[in-house]
Amino acid sequence: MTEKEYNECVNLYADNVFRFIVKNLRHEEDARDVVQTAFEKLWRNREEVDGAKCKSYLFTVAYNQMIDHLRKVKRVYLKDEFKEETKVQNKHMDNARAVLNEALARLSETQRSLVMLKDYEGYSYEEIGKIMNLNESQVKVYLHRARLQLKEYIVKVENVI
Amino acid sequence: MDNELNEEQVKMVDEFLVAHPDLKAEFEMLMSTKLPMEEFSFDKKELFAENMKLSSVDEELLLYIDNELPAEQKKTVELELASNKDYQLQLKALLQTKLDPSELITYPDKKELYRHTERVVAFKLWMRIAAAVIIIAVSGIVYFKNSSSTIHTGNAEMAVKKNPVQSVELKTTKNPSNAMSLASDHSMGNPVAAKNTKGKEKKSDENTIVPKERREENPVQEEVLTAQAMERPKVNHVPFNENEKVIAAIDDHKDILNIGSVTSPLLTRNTTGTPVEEEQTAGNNRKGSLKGFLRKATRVIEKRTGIDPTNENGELLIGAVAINLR
Repeated sequence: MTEKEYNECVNLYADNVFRFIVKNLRHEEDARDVVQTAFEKLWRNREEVDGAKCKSYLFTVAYNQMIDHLRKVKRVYLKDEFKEETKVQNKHMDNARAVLNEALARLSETQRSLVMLKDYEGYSYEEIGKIMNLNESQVKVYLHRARLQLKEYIVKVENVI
Repeated sequence: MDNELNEEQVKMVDEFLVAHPDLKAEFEMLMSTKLPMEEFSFDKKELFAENMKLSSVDEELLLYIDNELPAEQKKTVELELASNKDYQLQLKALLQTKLDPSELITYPDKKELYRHTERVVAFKLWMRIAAAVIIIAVSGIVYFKNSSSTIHTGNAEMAVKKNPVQSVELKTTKNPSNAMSLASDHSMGNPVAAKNTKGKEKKSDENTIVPKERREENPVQEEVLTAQAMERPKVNHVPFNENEKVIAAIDDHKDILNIGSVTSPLLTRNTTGTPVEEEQTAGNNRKGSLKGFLRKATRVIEKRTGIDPTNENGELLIGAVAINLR
């Protein structure tokens, strides 16, 4: 990969990787650090990385960095298990996107990453598996479970309204 | 403790433990590491056939919205969706779980991610010297060409000046343009020169008077020009400048212009030798000026690069060629 190709990768994928990480971590500064680290790694290994595969390389590195970061920081986000909330907060439930984002935040990191890689980036199950070090059937099963959980939450919220 | 011994072996262990009470405590500690049996309950509802059927429908729809279905299955699902309303409702609910890819979150400071390395182009020693030599050679050629053109111009002017009678008569000729045109008509088989002469009559008139100072400066050059004027072959070539045209015309049409030969006794007074020798002398002068230029250039190179491009004998090295600067 040449310097020009690297800078082109920055233009094309910096926003996408940042979106992926910031929605997972829900912390902008930490997300910036992860993204920067990912691009630094890409720069250092640019001779081994093909220009056409830089996107998947970036997402792989960023995802691993994110996992490492979470292990180091051990922040307590909303619970990993998708539990039923007894308290329903007053929100503008007509905003489907806001509800979806809230439901997304309630998923585990793995499930959330799977949904974002599939919907935002359009990766196939196989490609997602390579990024997240899962096999194809695992990707399928985890993703389907995530969607079902999202569906249940959205339906419940709509029912409450 | 793993229940792998037969009855006799178990009896033997028990007898051993009775005989060695100090080891019994250790045995009991070992036995405590065995995991106890625990009872677990599991919700089996999802595993029943009905739920399995529902989940397969969901799975199919999930694969459909993920665009992971093969073409045939996709068609089947689409057909089912067209006819089955429940199917459509299920699909609609699942589609709500899809994120919008057009949702943009821009990275705050992309500039810090870009990389611009400053390339250091390392020129090797021999490349620098070769580049310097090429520059010297090119500038030397240009300089030489320019200097030789000034020599020709000077000589032409001197030749015209040497014959003031000729120049005066050129001026006093009633129809100088006609004379020139006649001269051009009868030129040395040089239609190009003729055309040029016609077109530039005014210039030729201006050049007839030459300052005396030039005459004194370039006597040798003057001789060369006169020799050349005599010996110039009758071939088609464009004259070097207007003065040469004048001389050529004059030389050819002495009768018309009523002038002497270009090679008058006045001019030939300073002739030192044959025309070939005169050319060699002029050539030597040119070489000397070129060498001088090259000498100056080598000094500049030496100052700038710190490299002496000359060898022990003071010869300028260009690749495998050595030029003597002395």
